[in-house]
Amino acid sequence: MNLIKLKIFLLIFGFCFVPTTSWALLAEHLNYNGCDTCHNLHGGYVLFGALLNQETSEATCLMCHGPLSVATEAAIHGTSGQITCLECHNPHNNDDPNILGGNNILLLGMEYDSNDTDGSRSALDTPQIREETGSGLGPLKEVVFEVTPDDWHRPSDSYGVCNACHTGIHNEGNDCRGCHTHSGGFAGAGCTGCHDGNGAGALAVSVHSPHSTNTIFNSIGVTYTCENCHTAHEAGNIQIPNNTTVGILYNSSGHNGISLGADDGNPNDAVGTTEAEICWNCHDQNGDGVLSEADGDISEWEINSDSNGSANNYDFGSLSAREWVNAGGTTGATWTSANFSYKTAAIQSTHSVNPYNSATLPGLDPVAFIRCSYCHDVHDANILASDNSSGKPYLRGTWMGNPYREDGAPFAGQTYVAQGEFGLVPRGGVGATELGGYQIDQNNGNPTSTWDLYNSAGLCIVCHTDNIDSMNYFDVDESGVAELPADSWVGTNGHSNAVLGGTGSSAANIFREDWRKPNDGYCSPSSASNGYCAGSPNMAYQHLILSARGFGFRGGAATDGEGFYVEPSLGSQPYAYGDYNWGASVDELTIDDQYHQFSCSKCHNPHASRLPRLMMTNCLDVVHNTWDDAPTTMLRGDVITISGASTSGAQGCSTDVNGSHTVDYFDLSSSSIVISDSFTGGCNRQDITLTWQGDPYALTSVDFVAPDKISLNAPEDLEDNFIGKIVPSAGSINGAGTIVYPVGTDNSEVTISRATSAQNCHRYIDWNNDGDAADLDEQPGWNTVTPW
Amino acid sequence: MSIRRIFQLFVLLTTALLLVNCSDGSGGGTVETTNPPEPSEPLSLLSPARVEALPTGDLVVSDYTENKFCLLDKNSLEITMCFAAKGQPTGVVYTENDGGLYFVGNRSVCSVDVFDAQGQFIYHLGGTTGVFKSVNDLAVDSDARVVYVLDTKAKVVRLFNFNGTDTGLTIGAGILNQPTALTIDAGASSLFVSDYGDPTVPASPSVKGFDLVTRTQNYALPGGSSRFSSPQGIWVDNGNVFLVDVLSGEVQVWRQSDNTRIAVLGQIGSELGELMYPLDVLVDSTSKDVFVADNRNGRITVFRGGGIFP
Repeated sequence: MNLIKLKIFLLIFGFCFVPTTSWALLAEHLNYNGCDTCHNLHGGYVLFGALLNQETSEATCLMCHGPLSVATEAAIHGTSGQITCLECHNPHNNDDPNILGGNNILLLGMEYDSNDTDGSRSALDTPQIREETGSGLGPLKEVVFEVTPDDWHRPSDSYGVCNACHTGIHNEGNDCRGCHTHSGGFAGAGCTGCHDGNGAGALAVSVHSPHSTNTIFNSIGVTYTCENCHTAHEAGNIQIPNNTTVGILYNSSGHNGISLGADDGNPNDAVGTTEAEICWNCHDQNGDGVLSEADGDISEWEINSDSNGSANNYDFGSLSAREWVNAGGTTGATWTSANFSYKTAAIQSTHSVNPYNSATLPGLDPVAFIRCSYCHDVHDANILASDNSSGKPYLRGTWMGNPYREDGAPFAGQTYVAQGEFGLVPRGGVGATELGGYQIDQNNGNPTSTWDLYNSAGLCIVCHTDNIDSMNYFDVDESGVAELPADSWVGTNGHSNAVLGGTGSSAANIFREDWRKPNDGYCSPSSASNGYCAGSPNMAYQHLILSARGFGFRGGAATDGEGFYVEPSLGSQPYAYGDYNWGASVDELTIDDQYHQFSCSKCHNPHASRLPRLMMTNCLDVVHNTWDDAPTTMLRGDVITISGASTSGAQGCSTDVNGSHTVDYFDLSSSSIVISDSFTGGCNRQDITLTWQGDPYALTSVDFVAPDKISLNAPEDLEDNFIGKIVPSAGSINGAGTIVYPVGTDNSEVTISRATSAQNCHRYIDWNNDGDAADLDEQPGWNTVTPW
Repeated sequence: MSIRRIFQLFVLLTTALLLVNCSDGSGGGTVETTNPPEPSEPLSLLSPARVEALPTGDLVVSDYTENKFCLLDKNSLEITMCFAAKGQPTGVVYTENDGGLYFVGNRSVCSVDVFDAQGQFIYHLGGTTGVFKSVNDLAVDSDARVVYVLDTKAKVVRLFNFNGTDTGLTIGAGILNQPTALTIDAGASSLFVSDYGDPTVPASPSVKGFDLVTRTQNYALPGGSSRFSSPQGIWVDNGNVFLVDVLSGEVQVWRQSDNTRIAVLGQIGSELGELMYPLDVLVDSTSKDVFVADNRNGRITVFRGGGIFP
């Protein structure tokens, strides 16, 4: 075609196809290559009569606007031809500028949409578009692009460009292109399009947490994405509410938290109806329903993440199920200690960490109330100002795990190394490191010497504050009954003198004589009849009246009456108090301020516990804190059998006396065993037999005490075996109540724990279970709420 | 019917008679493609952009919209492994040096990201993101331990050391207009760059060659009407320049010695053997199979023996 013909053609072409109003080309297109930028007179494709370089308008645009090309990158939205570039753009010009200040985005809509031939375009007064699907054309929808730059999604009238077809609740009112880029065809950018390691505030998703990267599943060749826990546009079924205290704050665009729950069919999705289940879903990697480190789970039980450096790593025991409690929070899973079988029992307290609208009482919480994310910064984003912690286990503050060995009762079969004059006993001195005995700073190498409250429990004080002295989070007990902080304790709140951060305001001298010997100079009245009260030394007591004696620190030579013939022989010094090396001041006046420097983690399990109040230990385990290498000590809770009782004749026993019963407590004043049941009366006969551990004992009498209690008066041979009794087998109590000791005999059946109870510094003995320690032979102690 | 309308029809008819279709669509070899992607299938390609050969003979492909790069068995065309990129990946090259390194251009944050052989990110060239204006393609010289980075918006090729430091050297400054892709012909010690050219000059799309030692231009293949208008991926094999022309959907083969086009592989479309917005090409030096990153069709198309010429 020669030049003349070309010019003629162009003239005619322009007359025929250029609208009567003159257009000026967009400068960018004009300056590129004029009309030839998009049109091809030779071999062009006819579209609406226009000769394009490519067979579709989209392909023409993508010449320069496609990936890796030379102009601003764009991609079509949807399937090719479904929504053409011309739906929104006029590549030529328009007399009316758009709100972005340009004249390129005009929402021509149907006007140049080759797919939409239904209806008269010229009849449209306002820009309208139509959803185009494989099954046909949807209704016309008016769109607005003239008000503000944020009108991509207009919740007020749905005229936004995006919400003309789409609904969404994420970031309403904002420019959708923040995540749905034109270069990406307006497809979703995925979570990390905005929430990435370079974000700030709520957009921050740290690269340090496996929850933010693909490291969780990468090792097994599976791609892990945010969408495995979250859904786009907050469609998840589980809402994690905001908690500004811990640094969770999603409140833009009407949000009030963040959602979980992503069951869209991907096998990697974490499913569940509660937040805790979402976490347990993945942390139970082998899917056996039990979280166990041993089979590869990331678990809060057993020896989990080392969070205290070189200190001892505590074994948190094991749980019978993945869930701490049942859904309703009424029944706890069974917990088992790593070292002490007697502790096995159900969980009694859980840490929901969720005081908002849910956890208002101590005790068990429903699974739905448990907020793992309130303590665990799963994305390691460190949004909370005080949160400088990173790495496993991804917490929102500092936490140093329990550096002490597990507390527990001394137990038969354990070998205890002799500690000075105290001999082969547990807790004989700071060198006592065996399991079975209490673990405090002095016999654990002072593991918290470099710790303080803030570097060991910064996470705890986010919610619990740093007022350690009166720390008691709930003002009510497990039944909802109001209580003062001190009500959980015997006496005063014990935190002040036992915990890092305490001021010692409630410190007391546990060796103070009148506190430990409430009745007389050195012995309780009943014990006075025993003579020297060698078995009732209370708390680490040194007899101050008779200063040459140490009734609590009693070791003793085998031949020395003062030593009560306790085996093994401790040498020539009968008064072992001289070997007391725990460092406390044993005198009448000194208060050892801050003697204990326990971390929060020493006593509390941050997740759930077998004891109330998330306790892991009980300094006053009165049932188990004694120790006796004589296996025949009767204990509270033992089962006995009564036989021979009859309702007939003079015996006059109630029919319910015979049979198996559980020992409730011992009444030392009457040398009786008290059992509780629904009794209607006692007996007066003396031919009633008590069988215990297979051995029969003839009871002297059975007395009716109350409708639920009877007292079994024990013969001396059984009396010897009462817990806490110290009557030597080779001795006897005479009529005046004086112990007569034969010379040359040993005391191998003596309850040694009482004889050497100097090591039981805090004792609480409530023989009659009336809730105090003020009765005869009872002894005050410390904590009341944590019975095993 | 109005006079105006009659006249329009007349012009259309006349115009139609004057149109000439220049496409000849010649090609050779058998054609195969990778399997089409299935929803939620992790090991599939949706937007292949650049393709490069590995020392094993297999391929590495960048998946542009999926933010990943994948390894491909050249015989079965099966994808064997994918690694997460840190943005939209453009060029991707591999070296066996230093235990194996992948250099991946990142369009999203204008960087070149370095990964180890296991796909773990190590560092950025230049130490950070935003070092470049727009990374379109990469080439590597393992012997010299240099990465060639094509910065389209900067209109230049920048040279970086393997350790990420900038050599300060460039190629094509003042010569390149709208460069889109590059390749190295190691045998000829030359770097080839495809260039959209100056849009105001009709014949300006071209391929330009540069000497790797002197970094001066030593070759030019002009494009333009009836030749190529939108050159992207490029490969040189045995003196033949394989050039992808995006909008025609063709892989054009030009004899370097005299700039004669000797073959065309593919044509625009989505059927077998057709290409839709192809972005890169690679020729296996042994089998002469021609691998094409068929971007809009979401697949790797291979013309078996397509690089064999008499």
